[in-house]
Amino acid sequence: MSRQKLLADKFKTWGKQQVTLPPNSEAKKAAVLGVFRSRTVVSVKKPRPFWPLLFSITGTFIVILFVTQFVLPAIQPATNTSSYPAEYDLSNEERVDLNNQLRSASGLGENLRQASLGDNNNKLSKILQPITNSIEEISHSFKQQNNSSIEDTREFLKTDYGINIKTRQVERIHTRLQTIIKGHGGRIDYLSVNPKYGSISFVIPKSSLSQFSTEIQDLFHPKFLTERISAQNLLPEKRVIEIDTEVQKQSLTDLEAKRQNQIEQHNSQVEYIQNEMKKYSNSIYALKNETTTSTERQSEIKAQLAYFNNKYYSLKQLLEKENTSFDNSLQETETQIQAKKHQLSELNEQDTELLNNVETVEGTISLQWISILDAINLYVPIYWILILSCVGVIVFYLLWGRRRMFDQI
Amino acid sequence: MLLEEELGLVAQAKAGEQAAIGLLWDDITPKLYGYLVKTLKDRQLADDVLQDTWLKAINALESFRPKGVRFSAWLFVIARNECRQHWRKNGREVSIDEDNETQSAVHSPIELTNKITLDTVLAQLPIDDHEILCLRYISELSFNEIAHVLEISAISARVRTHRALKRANLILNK
Repeated sequence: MSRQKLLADKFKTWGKQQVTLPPNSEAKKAAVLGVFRSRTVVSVKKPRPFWPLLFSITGTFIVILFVTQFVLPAIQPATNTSSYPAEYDLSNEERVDLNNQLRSASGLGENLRQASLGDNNNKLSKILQPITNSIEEISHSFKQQNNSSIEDTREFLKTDYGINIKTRQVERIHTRLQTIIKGHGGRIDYLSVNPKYGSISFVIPKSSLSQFSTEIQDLFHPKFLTERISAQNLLPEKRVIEIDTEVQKQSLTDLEAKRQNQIEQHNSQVEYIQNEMKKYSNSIYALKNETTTSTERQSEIKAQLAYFNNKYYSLKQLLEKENTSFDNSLQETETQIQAKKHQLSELNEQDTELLNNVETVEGTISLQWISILDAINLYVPIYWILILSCVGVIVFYLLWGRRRMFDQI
Repeated sequence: MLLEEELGLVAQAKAGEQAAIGLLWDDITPKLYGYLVKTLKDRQLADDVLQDTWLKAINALESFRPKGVRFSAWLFVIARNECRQHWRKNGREVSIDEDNETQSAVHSPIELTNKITLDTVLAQLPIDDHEILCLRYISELSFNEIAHVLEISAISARVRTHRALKRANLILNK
């Protein structure tokens, strides 16, 4: 090993001895430098044309800006302020209408009508129809009253959330937003995406709305977002349900009282008839057991027996008629009571649905692809772009182009 | 010359500084010429190849990208390619005029003896060993730079240098 190191040291010394300049080194160096100089001079003689570049850059900027800012917007209909295709976007008015339709479709009158029409029992529906109509009238009158009432200060705020996002990665962001919605315990109701546009309709718990909104805002620059949060007090709907419930409860109480009254009347009637029948029965029994030899008395007894038997059978028929009549009227009352209970149950469900509805937020997210020019335009207004472009090109020319020309001479 | 200094000069040369080329010439040419003389064994031919190497380097200067390798290593790659090109055209003809000038540069008898001994040893070594020892001890290239010139890995360059020295040692001890 030491021998090899010694040899390496010898080679180092030897290597240094070999290092030498060639003969006529300066002449060769001058020749190489001459070539280097001539190469530079040749490149000066044929300088890269700069003015065409300057004009083409400026011209391209102006043409692109003109086309994107003036020509393309002019081609689109002036009334269509939204840049989304119709199938991906709803205007605010359309959203409000849609929500109202959905709420009214789930309203009390509609439910009762559906219950009465959908029921196979025609009898029940016939009985329910006038009640339904009366309830709708009452509801309508109360709605009108509630709309102007300021005494009730309760709030049942139903929140709607909407956000428009401009991004250059629509599909990736679309997937990420789905994950965020699910992460907040939300439910996705509608999805659509293509490379240019995306849309998500979802429902999330009201308690998560603030965090959800913050998380989305953290993902994007504020210039690329348009967020809207609207809330509507569902107090009128709540009042209608409450009043309808009161009305139904009162009706139920009345019907139950009516049924009790019917039972009591029936019982007293039956008792009276049975007492009368018993009297006649006793008289018949007494007459039949009476022994007499008088033909006059015997004919008298015979006539009385016929009279009492006739009375007895009349009372018996009356009792049967009373029982039948009672059964029918009691059944009718029972049916009405069942219908009332059913309506109260539905009202209770509606009340629960309304409270659940208040505790959720319905939201829509619209994604729109944005071009680089549009993105720049968000930061800098068009006139500034033009001015800055021109200044940039001139500064570029003065600092780089002119210096380059001088350096090359 | 340090890597940074050398790269600074190259940057200046790219910007058109003639003086930078002059400084690079002064620093690299002695080693490059020594390497070419030892490789080609012909001073006249080494002169020509030296000039061709520099001219090609100047013409291709814009395409030079450092990537951790010195400009001198890049020049040695060009020089080696020039040598190979010459050998492809003319074959490996050995001239005997290589040492005339060098001997006059040697001062002491010990150095002269040492030189003659090592020249004799080098002449008996395989071409690859000869080349790697020239690159290592005349050109003073690092193993990374030798690897770059010979298009092998740095570890291979180290191992091959070690083996070349071992073989030289064996020849020396015969």
